[in-house]
Amino acid sequence: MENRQPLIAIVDDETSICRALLRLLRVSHYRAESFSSPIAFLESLAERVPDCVVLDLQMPMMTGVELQQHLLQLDDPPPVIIITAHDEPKTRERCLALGAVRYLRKPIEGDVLIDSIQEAVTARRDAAERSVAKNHL
Amino acid sequence: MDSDPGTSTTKTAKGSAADAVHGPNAPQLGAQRSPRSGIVSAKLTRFAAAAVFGSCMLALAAHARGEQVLLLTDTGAAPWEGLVTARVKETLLRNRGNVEVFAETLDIARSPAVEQQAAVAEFLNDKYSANPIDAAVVVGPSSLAFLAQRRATLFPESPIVYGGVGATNIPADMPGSTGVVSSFDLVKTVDLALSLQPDARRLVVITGADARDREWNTVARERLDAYRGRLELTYFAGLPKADLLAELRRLSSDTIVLLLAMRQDGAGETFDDGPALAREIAAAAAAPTYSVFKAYVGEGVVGGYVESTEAIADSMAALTLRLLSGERPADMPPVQSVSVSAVDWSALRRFNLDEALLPPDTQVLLREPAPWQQYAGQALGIVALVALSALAIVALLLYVGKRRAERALRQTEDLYRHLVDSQIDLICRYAPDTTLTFVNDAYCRYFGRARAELLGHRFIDLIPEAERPRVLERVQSLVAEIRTVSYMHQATMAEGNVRWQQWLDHPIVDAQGKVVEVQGIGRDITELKAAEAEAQQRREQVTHLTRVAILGELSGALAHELNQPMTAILSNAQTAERLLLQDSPDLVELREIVKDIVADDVRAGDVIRRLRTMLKPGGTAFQLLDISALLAEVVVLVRAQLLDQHVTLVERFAGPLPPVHGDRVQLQQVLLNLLMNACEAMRANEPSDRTLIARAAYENGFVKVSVTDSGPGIASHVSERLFEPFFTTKAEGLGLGLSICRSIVSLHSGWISARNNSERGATVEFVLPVAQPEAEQADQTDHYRAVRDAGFVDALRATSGM
Repeated sequence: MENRQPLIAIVDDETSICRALLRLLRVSHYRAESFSSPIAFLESLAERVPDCVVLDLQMPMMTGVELQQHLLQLDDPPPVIIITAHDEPKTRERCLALGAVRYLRKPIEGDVLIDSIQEAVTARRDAAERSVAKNHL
Repeated sequence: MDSDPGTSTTKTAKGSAADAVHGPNAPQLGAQRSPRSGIVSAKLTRFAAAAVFGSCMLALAAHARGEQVLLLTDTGAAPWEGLVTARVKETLLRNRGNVEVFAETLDIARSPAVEQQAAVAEFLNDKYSANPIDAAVVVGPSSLAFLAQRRATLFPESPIVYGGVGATNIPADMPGSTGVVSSFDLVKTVDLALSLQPDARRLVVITGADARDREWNTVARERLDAYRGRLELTYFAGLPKADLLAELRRLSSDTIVLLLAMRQDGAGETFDDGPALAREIAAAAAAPTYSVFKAYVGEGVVGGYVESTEAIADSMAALTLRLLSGERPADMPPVQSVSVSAVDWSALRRFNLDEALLPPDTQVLLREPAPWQQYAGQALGIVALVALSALAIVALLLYVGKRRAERALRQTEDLYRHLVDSQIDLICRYAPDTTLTFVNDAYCRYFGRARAELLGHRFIDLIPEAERPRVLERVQSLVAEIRTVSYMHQATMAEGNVRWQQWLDHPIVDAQGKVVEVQGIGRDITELKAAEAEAQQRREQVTHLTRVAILGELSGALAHELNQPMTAILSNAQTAERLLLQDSPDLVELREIVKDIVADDVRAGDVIRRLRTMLKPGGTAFQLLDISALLAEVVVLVRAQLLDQHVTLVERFAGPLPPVHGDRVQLQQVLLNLLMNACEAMRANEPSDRTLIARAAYENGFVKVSVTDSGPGIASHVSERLFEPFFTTKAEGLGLGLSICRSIVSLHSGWISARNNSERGATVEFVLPVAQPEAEQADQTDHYRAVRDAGFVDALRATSGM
């Protein structure tokens, strides 16, 4: 468990962004997979839930906000990092209210994204460890 | 009969000897004299002699002093004009013992220049100064306007009886006049149509492009407003004839076509023969055509609520008789003409319309008899008049002797020459190879050359070389087809500068029908051209500003569109940096990354380039364009906006489309505008319910593009004004978008329309003609310039505070 690299999901309808972020995460030693359709991503959740989701807001069929709502129905929802090219204060509030850990504007600095992911993954792992410890007590 | 297209008649050269003498623009001052008078004047002129052999008219001045009535008509050539004058004259002669009836044709339609009309007025003044007129009977609006303008100087004492004019054509201060006022009942005509076609769903109203045609359009929009809701109203106003006919062929049979005045079409072609045009229109229309002009019923037009020409003539004659018996015009208020509903039996049959549905008092006219039968009485009268006149001439010639005849001839020639030379219009004659055979003084002055330098030389050499083929082609076509042609070109002056002229060229044929010469009447339009160029420039500015405004609305979406590739580029570049820090970087991966960076950069560059083209102010540059490719390019610009507003775009293109001839940026602007409007229209819909359908298809020589939304549709009080400048339903909108779209589309010889869909939402559709071979294109641009400018006048007026 300690040695296993966290799994990051990238959801963006723009395939060139998916590809670029996938490379960035892999070169930064994460396991990563990308989805250019929110539906395909939701379907993949049956098999495995990633440790963190990097989520684009503007997508056809389903917006990032709607997808976030779906994720909240999971037992242990993964942290969500929103990436968007279209920054609107209202949407920002909405996403944060739904539990997004970060809200990043495109174009995204590689370091900022990696740090955000690292933070989110660590926080989640710590929380999990605390709850395991609590159960052991 | 006001504005009946038949009132403007330009004769072509088809065998009129009178034309051969006068040319089309020399005032034709033929006067008819009542056959009652046996005295023949010595003032026989060459004019009149020619007129006798040609148009069966005889110019005579009266000597005997009885009551004198003067009939004034424009050309006298429209059948109804002829009918009115003949009937008035007949009634007067029957009822008064010693009345003499003179008739003058003013020829205003053919010689509209102020100087020409002034010459005609002067001539009339001279001619009748010795013979005071007891009553002037004026037929048609242009004749009345002619007289009204000169009321103080021309027949100032004579009372006037007018007829065949609408209420709007009667001058406010016209002392000493009375007459018959025409009324055209559009509503009753549509009611008649509805009684024959109770299931009709659509009403199409046809009007032409000249000033009076447009007045008709305004009136129709006002009066027919009452049918909105019951019928879908469409106005085909000022379309080029070919386009109009194509549209009419496409109509479904549950349409009512209402043909009003069309003296000129959107391509600048004038129609001298209204009934002939009506015949063509009614034949093309796939639905029954109605009109308010009696002359059209029997030409394929089903019918209408029309005036009775005979009743107009009778009322005019009655008013004239009262004047002659001493009543004062002030005591005789104008009377309204009487209208009846009338239909043509054969046209009813063509559309299987049930006669039983007609209102009870409708006249059902059987097939109109041939003109010969119809006007047999008149024709015989004319033959008799010609025979009498010919005899009179022979007698006169024998009597007055050779010398007097020669003097008369010389006087006439002097008068004629004076008329021609005193014109400021340029008058010339030339052989089909453009060799000049006659030029007037104005022509010599204008070109700064002596007559001897011009005669025997080809005028084509005065035209800049680049324009010569086009001008020669025009000349060849008017010679080959024997028709009057109006065109413009430039010519080089003696000082070397180039000026623009507008020409009206008219072929002159010999007895065998072969063109021997062409007569041209021209005027300088350099200033007009300059004004046109300025208007064009301002139009481009307005177009550009609207485009900038649309792109401004799109700015957020466009930022998104640029952000996407930049996001990918940045991530890729930063990944590459990290890879390069490794001991043995994966070169395959690096190569892939660089490839992706290049592709994304190209994509961003494309968006910027497109934006820059659209933001750049610039002239119009026509080229062959593929509309579907153009639409695809615009979709790139609005994609983010669509996404942002949850609009689903469905593209339905029917196969490969033939190219159109157009300006890339302007047509993109139209597409952009329509797509944006459609998005805007669906703002109140549920996000899952915002579907926009863009269609493009080829149909009968046109590429048809439509944008359909699923919004609330166009409110009925808005639909008619949708394309007007500065009309907007948006709080922040300027209201120029659609009016600019209309202007752009008409610049491209197409047209644009909007309608509500049968289920919900609205569709805006525009049609562009498929590109034609080179030669015809130049021609069309010329023609359509007029339409385009007409479309812009309102916008310009508003921007310049005119």
